[in-house]
Amino acid sequence: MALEGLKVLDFTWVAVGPITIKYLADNGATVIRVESVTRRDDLRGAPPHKDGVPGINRSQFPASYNTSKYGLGVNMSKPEARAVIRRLIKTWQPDVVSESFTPPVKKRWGLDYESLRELKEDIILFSACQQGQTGPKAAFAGFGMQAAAHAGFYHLTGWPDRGPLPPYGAYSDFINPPNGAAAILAALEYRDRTGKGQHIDLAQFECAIQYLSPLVLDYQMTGRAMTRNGNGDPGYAPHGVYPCATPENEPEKPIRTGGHWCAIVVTTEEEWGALCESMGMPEMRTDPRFESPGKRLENSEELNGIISGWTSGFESRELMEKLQEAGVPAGVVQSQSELWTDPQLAHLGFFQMLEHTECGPMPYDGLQFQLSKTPARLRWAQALIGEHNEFVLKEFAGLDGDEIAELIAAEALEFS
Amino acid sequence: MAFDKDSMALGPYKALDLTEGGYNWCGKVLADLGADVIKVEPPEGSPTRYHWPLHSGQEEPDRSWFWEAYCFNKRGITLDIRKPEGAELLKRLASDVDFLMISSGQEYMESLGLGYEELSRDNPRLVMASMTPFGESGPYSGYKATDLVSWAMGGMAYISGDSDRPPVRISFPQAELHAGAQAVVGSMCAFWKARNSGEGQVVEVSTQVAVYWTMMNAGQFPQLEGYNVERLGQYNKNGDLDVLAIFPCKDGYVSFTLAGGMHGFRMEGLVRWMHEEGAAPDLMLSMDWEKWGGWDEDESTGPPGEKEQQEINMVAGHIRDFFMTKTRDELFDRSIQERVLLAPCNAANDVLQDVQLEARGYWLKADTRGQENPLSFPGRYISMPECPISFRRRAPGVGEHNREVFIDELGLRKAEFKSLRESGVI
Repeated sequence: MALEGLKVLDFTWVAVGPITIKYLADNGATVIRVESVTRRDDLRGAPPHKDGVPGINRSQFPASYNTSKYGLGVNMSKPEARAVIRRLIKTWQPDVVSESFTPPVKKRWGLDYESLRELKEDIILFSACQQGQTGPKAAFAGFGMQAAAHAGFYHLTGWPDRGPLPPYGAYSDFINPPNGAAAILAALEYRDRTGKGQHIDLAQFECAIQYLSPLVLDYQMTGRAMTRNGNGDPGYAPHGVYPCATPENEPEKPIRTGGHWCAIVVTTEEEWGALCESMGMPEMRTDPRFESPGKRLENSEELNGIISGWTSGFESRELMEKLQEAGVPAGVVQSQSELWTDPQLAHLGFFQMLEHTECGPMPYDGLQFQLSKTPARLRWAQALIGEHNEFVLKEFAGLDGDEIAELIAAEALEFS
Repeated sequence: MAFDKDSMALGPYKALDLTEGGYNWCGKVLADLGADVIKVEPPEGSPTRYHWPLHSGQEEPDRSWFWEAYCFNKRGITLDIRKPEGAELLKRLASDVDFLMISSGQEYMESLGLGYEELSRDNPRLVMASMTPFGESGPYSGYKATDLVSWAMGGMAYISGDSDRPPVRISFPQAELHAGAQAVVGSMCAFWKARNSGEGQVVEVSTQVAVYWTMMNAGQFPQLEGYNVERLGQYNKNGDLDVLAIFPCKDGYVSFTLAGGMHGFRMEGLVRWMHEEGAAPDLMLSMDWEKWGGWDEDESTGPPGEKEQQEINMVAGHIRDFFMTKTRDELFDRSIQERVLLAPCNAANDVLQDVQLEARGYWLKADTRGQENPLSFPGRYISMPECPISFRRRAPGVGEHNREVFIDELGLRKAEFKSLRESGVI
């Protein structure tokens, strides 16, 4: 695998840090994830759970973000735990330490950059937080639901006649990780060239704004602050999601309550013609209300009404196939159960089952990219907290059985 | 070049960027990290130069803020790779680069004699990233997609929006940016391998998969909980309860997460503040927030019922009334102090005035090509103090670096260059 030989000690929790480090783990780096039962990762308590039943080892939410990592469980409030972590770092010499604690906690636990440098001069410390390690608002703690709103995504989601909406979940949590992982690998390259490590500071807010940069530039020059516009587009019409028929074999609720929809977009005159043909309304192509992109934008509400009337007679997948066949961009608004039966994702082998120590076979989100010669692999399922305590402490920190027994007696080690 | 190559993380490395649209994000990150990224455009200019928002609505090159933002720090050349001489030149350029990025599909590149096998023959360390809507084989690989189609097929649209209206996307296109980000981490993994082994490879990214990876925890619900996550509008799910998550205030909206359990102390902070101002009802004062909505393994009680839902609706109502007496800034500042999970719903103009970003030197100021005030670019997506992301150049004009690249660096003779330009290759 691409990153064999790299060593990472991962103290992060929730989403941004764990996903960032997951890229390294799935690509072959040796990653030890440090967790605690007493201060557990929030996500271990959040759904979906195996069989819908909660339990510290039963949630798939953090599991998808922590594949291919060893599990080390410690209680950092115990001095023995802090000492063994220092010993691990000193002995194992990880290339990267990652964390998402506040600066005072970092200091208390000896995970601040200066303390880490005493153990490994050229270490790379990767810190992920909301607002950054410095500045007047550095102390702010929040989730992606805050950073995504703060960066501008809520303002841009929803309908012009209603208030802002969230894109589902903690949206900015999914902007940061790949870009953070790329920066870690670049910092490692820089270290190899210059001998210098560094403290990387990833502020979710700052990285997230970058996905809206053009609007920030536009505002400065024009004074326009763009706002939410449903599924409309300033350049193209039709551009929307349209209602489709309910399949005859639809399973009973609660499998589905959200309706069936198909996205349809026309970006060229050819596509416009193809859509009119597909609808069996070739005359609409030259209808004065719709004859040019400008006219279609102007009369988009009317146009959407006509298209909705037509799409309602089709099931969404059938409609997508028909339109794509004709050269019109179209796509089913897929629910999660449809994603699981999506033939394209199946072709890519996206979803994977991994054997989890407590839960047995569990469904995992698949790889984000394919490398042709050194493919990444979900090497193993998320570890239990402390699942690999003995292995990690013996192999990587050089402890013997007695020393481990002492740590257990001192309640410095934890297991879920 | 004006900057010291070795001072940047990827300073010694080169890349060719043939992508369009949001796929430009991949090269933008490599450029920010210090690589010499050269945009390769057709002689008439890249279609991305016409991507909205446009300055003054003018349909002319160099007026797209999309182009400005995502081709920042790159150089630019024109080359018609559909012509055999153009393809030959691309091959020569590719023989000396570390990264190459495409969004036209590998099959198309192969049809021009520019497939990975061909290109890597002279340059085995080459890393090529290929970003496409659905991947390069499989039943949907030939399908067309735009941002909205990818958002739909990747699963994000279905779960975003009001329950009484159709699913929605984010009104500014995102899907290709996510694919670009997956391509950049994939490229860096492959680069790391190539650096150590001398052997490069291809990185394939499906935009549909990239969108899937923005869905947080939703994907596994049918398998594990037996149902699909549905659109909840301004609400969040907390266990089985629907909890309001976007609240109006005096001058706009805030995103506020009402969370108990491990985060109960945060609610206590808010209640304390409300109580100070006589706005905390008994219901909120008497609630044990560390027990509320929290999940505890030892006392797995049954799911909350109607009573709990009504109770939390009432709590949300009181909070809403309280927030209505405050501005977004007042709410945010005090939330930092009380460790409340709250942030304002900003628009582009709010972000520009943010004191934290200003204090951290986030913005990179760039000349405006004749305009009065310097432009503030969201410049630094991550802080790397030893090799900081810096402003090197604005997005290139059409063919801005043709002479530099073709004559000074590739070594074309001036007469050769001239004739290639006349025949429309450059």
